[in-house]
Amino acid sequence: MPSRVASAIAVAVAVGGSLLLGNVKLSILVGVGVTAIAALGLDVLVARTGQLSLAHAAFLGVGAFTAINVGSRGAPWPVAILAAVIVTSAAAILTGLPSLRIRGLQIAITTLAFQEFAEEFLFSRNDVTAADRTLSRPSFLHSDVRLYLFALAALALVLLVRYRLSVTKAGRSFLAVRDIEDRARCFGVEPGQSKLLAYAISGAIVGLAGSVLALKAGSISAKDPFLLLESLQLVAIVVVGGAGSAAGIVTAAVLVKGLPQFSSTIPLTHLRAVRIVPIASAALLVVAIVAAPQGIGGLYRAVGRFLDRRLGARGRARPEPRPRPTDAVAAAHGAATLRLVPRPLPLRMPVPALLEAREVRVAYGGVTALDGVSLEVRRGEIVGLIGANGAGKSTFFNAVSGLAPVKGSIRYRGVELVGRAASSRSALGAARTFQDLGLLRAETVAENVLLAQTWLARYPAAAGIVGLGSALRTERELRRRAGLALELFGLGHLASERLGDLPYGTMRIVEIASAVAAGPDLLMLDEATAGLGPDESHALGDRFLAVRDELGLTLVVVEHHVPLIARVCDYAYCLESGVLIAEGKPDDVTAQPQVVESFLGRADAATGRGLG
Amino acid sequence: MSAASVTEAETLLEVEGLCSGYGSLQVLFDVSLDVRVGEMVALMGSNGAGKTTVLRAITGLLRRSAGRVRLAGDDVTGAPTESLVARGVALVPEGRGMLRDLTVAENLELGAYAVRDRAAIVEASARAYATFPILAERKHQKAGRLSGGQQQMLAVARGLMSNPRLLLVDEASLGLSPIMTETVFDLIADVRRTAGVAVLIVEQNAAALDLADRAFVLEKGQVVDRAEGDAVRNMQGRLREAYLGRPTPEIER
Repeated sequence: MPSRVASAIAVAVAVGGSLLLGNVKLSILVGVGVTAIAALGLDVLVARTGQLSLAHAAFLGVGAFTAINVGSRGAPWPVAILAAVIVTSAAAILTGLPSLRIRGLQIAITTLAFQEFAEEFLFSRNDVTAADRTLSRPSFLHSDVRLYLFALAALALVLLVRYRLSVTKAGRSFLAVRDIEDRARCFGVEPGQSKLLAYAISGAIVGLAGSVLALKAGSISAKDPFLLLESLQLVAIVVVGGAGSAAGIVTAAVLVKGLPQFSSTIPLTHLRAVRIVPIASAALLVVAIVAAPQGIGGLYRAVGRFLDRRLGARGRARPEPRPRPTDAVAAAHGAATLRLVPRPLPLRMPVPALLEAREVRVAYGGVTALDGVSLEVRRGEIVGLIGANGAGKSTFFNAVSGLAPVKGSIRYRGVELVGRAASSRSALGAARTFQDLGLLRAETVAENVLLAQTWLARYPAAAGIVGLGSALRTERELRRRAGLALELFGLGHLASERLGDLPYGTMRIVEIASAVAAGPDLLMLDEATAGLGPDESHALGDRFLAVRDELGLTLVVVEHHVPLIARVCDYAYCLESGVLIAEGKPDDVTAQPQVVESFLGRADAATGRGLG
Repeated sequence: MSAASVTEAETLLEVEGLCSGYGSLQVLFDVSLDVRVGEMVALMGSNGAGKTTVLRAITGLLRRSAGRVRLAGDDVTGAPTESLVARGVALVPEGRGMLRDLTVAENLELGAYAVRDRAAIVEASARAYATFPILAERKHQKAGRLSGGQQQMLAVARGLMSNPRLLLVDEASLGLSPIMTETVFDLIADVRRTAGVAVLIVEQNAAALDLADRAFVLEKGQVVDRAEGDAVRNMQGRLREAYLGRPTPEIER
């Protein structure tokens, strides 16, 4: 509530204020708007993909000069803007290409190369800068007030794009590639595509900023606004404003860019003589960073939380952070539609085996993690995979999901998986969880379940950002599915909680719910009950049976909790040092001496786990 | 000094009326517990009971809103985490907290970060390798390549590197096979016997009760039960009630 009021006030001040200011000040404000838009573009990279760019001032130049070049040759202004957006976006993609191989500081250095190239080569060519040409403003932008309102409209458009990004698959994919790149592929995210898209969007936004600047200036002869120093200032604005916070970044742009210029319109000759303004603003920068490491955006959030509490606006009581007990069968029945997903491949199963592994070998460096494992999983079974820590259970899952180098054959629904990209396997219908949680802890539970359904979000990422009806409809459907999957595991009340705030065991159940939401045929669960007490383990066992019986899923569970294996599994395999040492009915397998020796330990150890 | 100071000396860690939480959310309500010198204490509780939060609050990783923490009689409430390490407290975190790209040996040395004496570090490493031979074998491998059980051993070994008086162990059994759980528990019990380290072990796994001298049960951020001596062993039944509110189904037994 306070955030809506604050936004309304901000819009009122931004629009209404323009009527009170003179032309000089408005022109400064347009410049601030350009900087704010460029910083918001940079922030798409910084906050969502974790990559730093030192070339955004150069991109701003590319945008501005493109607009001038195109516009001054008689093209209508919308064409000039569009050209600026497209060319800058292309330049950003080009600069981002190395990110397919490297990340972090290295990628920042490659952007530095573009900045240098632009400064030294591009911007010193007259045909690029079109120094002799002038972009004349369209008639409706002739007054400064109108130009200012136009800049505000551009800013609003960028905010809309950023919002769309955060609620559609593109934004989620960016975060996933940033934090859990390998795991994200199992959701159907394609890391390379995602990274380049982030550069494209970031570039497009800066291109828009450049064209507003071109409209303001008409012609630009000096390359000052596009130098490395300006790139660094954009980075500073993002950091001071708080990565990811649009309100914070706009505020920071006003403070960093606007204040010094406004102060120069005030006759403070004495103060300027001792250069107090730059010193003061440098000091302010340091103080701001130390006092508010989360940036201005962090302060806004803190104030928002404070107001929320003070106003007692339905002071949202935090829900019980554990799953709610519900009737597993009824919940699964309600969630049965989760299975209704289109598959790219027809069902070709000459044998009843849904998953068939033959002589699977996985070796990392000199270590052989799986050494000729053959096993099969029949449709509708719950298969237990047990074995000592380090026996190769997770490696087997990695082999099936495409995260390990495999020799041998793994056929799924009769289709050979070996050689297929990991990101395409979720579409075939195999979903999995990870031993150490393959989700985004900083995001909400619902957001994570949406991420896991990326392969189902088959609209083009751009359609989501533009807000095409089909994309929004798909997103609504994914949200519905996410709700169903969470309800299935008694987690509906936690949808808007931050995942990392939940107890560990609950996070693990969220991951299972996410995997189910992706509508798989086969669910591979790695240590499903780790972190759960006996009661929750038991309840989870009920869910396993329910999703098998009601949703028709096939399950492979890696599990150390022997009573659970005995209760829910139809069949069990035991691995040791990468080799199968036993298979059969769970009770038979756990009775075999070799299994007892390598996995169970003392005979009574079967009851050791938990209290059951 | 009176008799009172003797008991004080015997109490190594004393937590009194601890309240803590995240942001505006209170997770711990008036938690009191104590660990005596050389003793093994189990803090039991289910998923979400606040076990990890207790450890985080004790070690100062999380702000306390009320309550006192004393270490060997000294008030260490609000003391920075690193000063607790210097006073002989070591934490073995949930999820093992390995630096996956460092070798086993490097991870171990990290545990002795606060130790200045080079000879003491070498000695501590030698002791760790003697206790956990598998770690000696894999000394130069990256920690990320170890199996779950081996990582857990490394985490415990790393905790012991600073020669602590008190070892805080968070869910050592997480993700371990039954035999490996037993092995890790036995090793912790061994270390405690031979090195005289007091251990506060936080667990859902009732097997921890077999090792403990005393036990506390945490439920919804409050200590709801405690036991000592043989009563600890009889606690399983009572715990089942606390966790389940009903007897465990036959099939799980």
